[in-house]
Amino acid sequence: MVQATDAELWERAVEGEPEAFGILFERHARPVYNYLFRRTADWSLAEDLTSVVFLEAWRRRRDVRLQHDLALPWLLGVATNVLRNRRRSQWRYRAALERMPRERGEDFADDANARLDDERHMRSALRAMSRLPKREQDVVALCGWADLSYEEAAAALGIPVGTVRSRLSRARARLRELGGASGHEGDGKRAVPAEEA
Amino acid sequence: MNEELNIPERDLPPGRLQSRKEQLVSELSTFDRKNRRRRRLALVVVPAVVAILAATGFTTYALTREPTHLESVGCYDRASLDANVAVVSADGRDPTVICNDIWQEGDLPGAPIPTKLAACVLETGAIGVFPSSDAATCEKLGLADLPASYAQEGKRFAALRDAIVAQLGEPASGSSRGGPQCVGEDEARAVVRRELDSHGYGDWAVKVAGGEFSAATPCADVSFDGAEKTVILVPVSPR
Repeated sequence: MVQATDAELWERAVEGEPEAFGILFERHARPVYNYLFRRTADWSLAEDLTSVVFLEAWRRRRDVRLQHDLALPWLLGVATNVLRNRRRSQWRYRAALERMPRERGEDFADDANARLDDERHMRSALRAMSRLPKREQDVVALCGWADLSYEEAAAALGIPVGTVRSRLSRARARLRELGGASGHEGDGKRAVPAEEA
Repeated sequence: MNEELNIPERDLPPGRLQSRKEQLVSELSTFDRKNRRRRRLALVVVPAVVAILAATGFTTYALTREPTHLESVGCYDRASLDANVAVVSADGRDPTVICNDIWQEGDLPGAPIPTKLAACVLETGAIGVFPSSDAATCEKLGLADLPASYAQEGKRFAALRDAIVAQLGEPASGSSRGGPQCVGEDEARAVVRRELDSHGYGDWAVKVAGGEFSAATPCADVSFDGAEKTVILVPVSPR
């Protein structure tokens, strides 16, 4: 059986079919979850915000035309907006969030320590990132951490491709300067250090 | 391009992709209907109020509305619906007093502490508290003032909440859970039903959401949905 494309599923969602949106959730929850973790350094919060992103995407599903029939860039754009207005988003969907399956003690039994390490490393990375203007942080996170192309990041943020390029260029230069000043490696590739000294 | 982080990508915890998906689909199946109902109310009620007031010769009016989400209060950091908001539990006190505490504790950084606050009823039926410069803050936002009757209703709801929480423990808040209790489904249902009835909330329902009670998740975590007049029991693992 041929798998439905994102665009076909989106079309069915626009027509009011939640199950089609459920398939999109299955398909894209993982990259959205990891993107949100990289922006918050908190796996548990990232899980809740993943649900918020898909609820918000459903609310706005009629407003969007998917670029190259791919839903992920737009979902990451929604995620970026959700992060920007995190409290408001959580407030809006608080009742739904309360009904979502919650974290249980045994969920992370296998990789609890690894996840704690992730959070510690990510907090350090975000501290370094916080020295950049928010607009540049968004571009670094989308292109560098979520592996979107310039064109996809432009679609996610609703800005021209040239603006993505220039923001990324400025961000890299700034991070190189900051990395050098604080003793971090400045090889031009690493957007943020893995961990501050 | 690869901006290295050296942090691996991970899956959602085992089983949760599926359970979150199922809950999402369940939420979405009623999402549009709820939104339509809200829009319909806004479209019908306001012209009706205008028509009635016009007919009786009033030149101004204030849209009044009872809050339906009594369980929490949103403290906004400026007089705008687009402002950042801190959501806190209602405890029976005046919402402006609750939010004043939030301001004083520094939970709304980035703006000077306001000298006056106004409590309004949002379109959703939730209570929002905004920095206020005059008596018309709610009206300027297109919202109703919080009615005086809330003082009594808020206390009544807080008494219900306190009675339930005393027996079932504090509701979950994110990943942190408080309280030592582990009350199973049957007992939790009985406790909640009894307290609802004795506090005058006999028309409220009790339901289980977010999974099923099992050996791994035998304890009831409680949450309140004022808009739906429902107390929700969420199965969780022992604390």
